[in-house]
Amino acid sequence: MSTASILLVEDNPDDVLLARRALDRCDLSSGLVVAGTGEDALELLDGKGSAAGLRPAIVLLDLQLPGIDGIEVLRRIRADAKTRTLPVVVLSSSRTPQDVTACYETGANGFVQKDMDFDRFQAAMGALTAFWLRVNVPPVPPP
Amino acid sequence: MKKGRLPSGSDAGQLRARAEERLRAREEAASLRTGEEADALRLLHELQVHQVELELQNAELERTRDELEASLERYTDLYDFAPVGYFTLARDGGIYSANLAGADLLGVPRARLLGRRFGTFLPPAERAGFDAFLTRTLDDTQREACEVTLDPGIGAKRIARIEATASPSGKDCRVAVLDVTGQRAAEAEIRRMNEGLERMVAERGAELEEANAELEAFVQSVSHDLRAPVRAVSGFSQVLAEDFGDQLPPVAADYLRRIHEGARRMGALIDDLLRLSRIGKAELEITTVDLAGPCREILAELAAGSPDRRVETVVAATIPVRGDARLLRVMLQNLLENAWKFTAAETAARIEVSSRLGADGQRETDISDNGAGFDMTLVGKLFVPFQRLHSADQFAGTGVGLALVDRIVRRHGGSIRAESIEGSGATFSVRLPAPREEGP
Repeated sequence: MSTASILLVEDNPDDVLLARRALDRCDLSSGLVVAGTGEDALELLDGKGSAAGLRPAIVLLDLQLPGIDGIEVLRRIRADAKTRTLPVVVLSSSRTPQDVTACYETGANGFVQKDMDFDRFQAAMGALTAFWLRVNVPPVPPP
Repeated sequence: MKKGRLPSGSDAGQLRARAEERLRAREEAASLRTGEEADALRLLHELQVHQVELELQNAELERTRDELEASLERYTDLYDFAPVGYFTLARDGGIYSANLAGADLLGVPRARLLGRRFGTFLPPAERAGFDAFLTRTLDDTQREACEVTLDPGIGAKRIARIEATASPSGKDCRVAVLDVTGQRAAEAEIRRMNEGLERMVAERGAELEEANAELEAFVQSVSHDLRAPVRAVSGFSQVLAEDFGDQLPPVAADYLRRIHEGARRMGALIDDLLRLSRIGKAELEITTVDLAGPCREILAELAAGSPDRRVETVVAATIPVRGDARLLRVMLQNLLENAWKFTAAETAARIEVSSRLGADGQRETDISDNGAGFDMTLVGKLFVPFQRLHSADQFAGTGVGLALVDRIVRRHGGSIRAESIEGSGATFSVRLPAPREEGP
């Protein structure tokens, strides 16, 4: 089983760069793996059928993705026994109550709005990711 | 003598009196007054009286007969030319008599109608029902009504309303047949037009809803799509300033600051646009809300946010209205923030919230300040989104706040107006439905 601290599922290269920069500043960017689509992310987690899948300490998931969207990725992560207990934090530029509700109902562990102010975004990312990486130790998936 | 049957007793008495009087006149001419002669004459007189009496009676009878004939003719005319078909029907539906209108309705000359069964003019499917109707009428001896289709064979089918009453003997019944084809057609037409109208309203409503939903989706998606590039501009300008700020000449740093500020404002505009569009579709949860509480809370928050300012605030003890508590708080937040913002330059700033109940059951609430105010000639631009009456240097803002307020008030079926003397302050008057028990 390959290990990675953080799996970032994000298609916008600017947002990837800004997220990397924000995590960098919080000393959290080591072991960052980026998937550009939901399909790529699920494939990484699944390990392409043969090899063991990626087991990050946290998944940062964008909602608006090309192909299958963030909610569907989340649903599939929760439906698979191997990935069911992965902490998933949703990153979204939308913050409509419907979106937030849908995320939590589908099993998200957290919701961060991509703030247009970089400092605030950095602070939110840092705090959340630090919690999932350093404070909360993810439970071991059942055999 | 036997009195005539036709003239009544008193009439007969009068007749006799008149006959006797006439004879007396004749007798006076012949003045014979002897014994036997007198008897014969008396007998003759009696006979003559009878004769005259009979003549008069006869004349009376003729006159009565003429009257009866005239009367019969009148009623026959009424019967025949009535706009309603009249029939006398036997228990089996056989036609005993019919008026002309009735014959016309059945499309058969009256002479050929007698003896035929009324049921044969009905479509086969309705015949058993009509027979039962006749039986019911005759057995219950009361007025019954039903509606049938008349199929005269030649010509168009008619819809007829039938009212029947059994004759006292219970052997036949009198039937009135009213042609209601036109009436039913008109009713059907009205129904059809109503349905058309309803369908049209529903279609238009659906179209409107669809257009609204499309617009909503458009605003949402544009806002979200706009956010990404704005976030990039804002984020990278911040990162650039952080990482390379010390290497930039002061002019470049200033440009960078302006880029970042522009992106920040753009972001705020997009957020406000989203908020504005969400107000339009939010479901209202109407309860009784006391605006005084939120007013005091918001003013306290504003005071806590700028501890260096001293603002005198006065809020009415209670301001009960009917509305959505969450939206009304957004409304108050915007109005009070405005009042707070535009009194920033006042040394003795004052914000007052007062309220009164209007005669129409609406509660009018005034939010007044003694701040900068605005030019009343521009009042029309006040509630238009993104229209600002002051430059951004003077007072910050995106120009969405009052548009938001206006939209919230209108969604509650209320209204808002603003008055100001530039330089002396402004008053915003919001009219909202008052709780019912408070109404006039």
